[in-house]
Amino acid sequence: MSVLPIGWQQLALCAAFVVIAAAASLALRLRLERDLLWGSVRTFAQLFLVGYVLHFIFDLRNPALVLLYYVWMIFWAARAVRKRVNEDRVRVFGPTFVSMVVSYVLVTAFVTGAIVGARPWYLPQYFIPLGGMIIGNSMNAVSIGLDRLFSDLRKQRAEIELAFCLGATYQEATRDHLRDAAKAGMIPSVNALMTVGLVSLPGMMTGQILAGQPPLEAIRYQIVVMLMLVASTAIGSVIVLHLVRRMCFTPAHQMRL
Amino acid sequence: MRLTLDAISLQYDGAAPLLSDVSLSIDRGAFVLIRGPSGVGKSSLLRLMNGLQSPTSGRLLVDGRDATTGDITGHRRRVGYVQQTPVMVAGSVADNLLLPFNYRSARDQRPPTQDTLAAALDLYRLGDVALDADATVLSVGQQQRVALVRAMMTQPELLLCDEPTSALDPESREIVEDRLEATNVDDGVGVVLVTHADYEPKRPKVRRLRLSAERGLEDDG
Repeated sequence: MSVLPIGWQQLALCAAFVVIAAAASLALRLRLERDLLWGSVRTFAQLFLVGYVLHFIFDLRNPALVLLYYVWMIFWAARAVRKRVNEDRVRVFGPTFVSMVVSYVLVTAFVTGAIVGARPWYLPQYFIPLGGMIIGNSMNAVSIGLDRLFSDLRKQRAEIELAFCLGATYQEATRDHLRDAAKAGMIPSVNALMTVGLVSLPGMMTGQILAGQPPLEAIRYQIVVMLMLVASTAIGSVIVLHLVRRMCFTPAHQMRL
Repeated sequence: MRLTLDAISLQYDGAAPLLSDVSLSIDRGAFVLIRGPSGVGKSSLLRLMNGLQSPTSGRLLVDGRDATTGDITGHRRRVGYVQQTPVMVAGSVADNLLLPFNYRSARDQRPPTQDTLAAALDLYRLGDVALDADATVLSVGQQQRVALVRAMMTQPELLLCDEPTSALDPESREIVEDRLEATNVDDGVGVVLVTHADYEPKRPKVRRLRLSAERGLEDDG
């Protein structure tokens, strides 16, 4: 069994949804028509573009190209994190990007190579979608963790400086802050482990079922994905938080914030 | 120990210079009072001495050596600092007093026994405060005294105090002032006290300084 294809006519029909939404926006004076239109155009354009690029990469099966595309996705994720964290005293892009690349490439390669058993390990049909899920998921964890770290450091400046006065290093003075930030970032992924399948069917599994996989096959993949996401979230955010915390202090253990 | 601020200037981002070209040496065992109007940089001066912040230009020297490039945690243990408003970490009085022993810089120091802690509290007339009492619910006056006992736990050679009595009731104020004088006269610990109150030390030989925006840091009688 394979997927029922969607042709141009069906796509055009789908645009009717946008018209309905735009009509609602006009009627309720939400002033969202322009954004709706622009958003829909972008959805078409971006996804078609990605479709062609992926088609090209899948055909070539060149490991350098696969990794390059992966790093490119991470680049945008790190930018999104920087925007969301919105911190001007400390540059979070660099450390976020570096630790995402290191941890996500390792976890993805392990999953495709050792667990899924893709041959070669960089087989783009597996590597890119699995890697993409890791990025999308742990991007949230990293933003939440960084947000928490910055706000805790600022709020508890007096306690941190007290620790400095009593001879603490910045690592010692902010041990709890780092732990709390890492925990805050990880809680959503851990909660997802508790509710998966009960509240909603996860995207990966849904996709496989739509593509004609038997549910019992699809859930195995989903289990792998869930655990992979927890692992990459944990590794990625712990590394990012360590690097960023270090940037919040001078070599003389003074707070930069 | 001799602590020296060597031609120190300090300017925060986008603001007018707070301190410019300030030099000061404090010898072992001195008792220094620094007075001056609010916002003139007295607190910053103490923070610079303790290495909590770095000057925009100039150097902090201890016995002629730059203090911020070497062992900064060791420096901060030698130069204690008591903030204007006492900061207590969540936990008991004992937790707060033992805080300095949680850090690697304390590895050569043995943590004091409960008896030693109780005796230290007694000196600050906190004999009725139990070591296992919740430190965060003490009165400000009691907290400030606990903060002083805590600062002494690292056995500093110089103690910097930023208006330590400004938030205190008269009784606590007197206790703190007496203890600071005793720490200086009896134990030989240097004390630098920022104050704008009309406090007149009784026992120590006092060096008075005045910090003003117009004339910088100068001797004051």
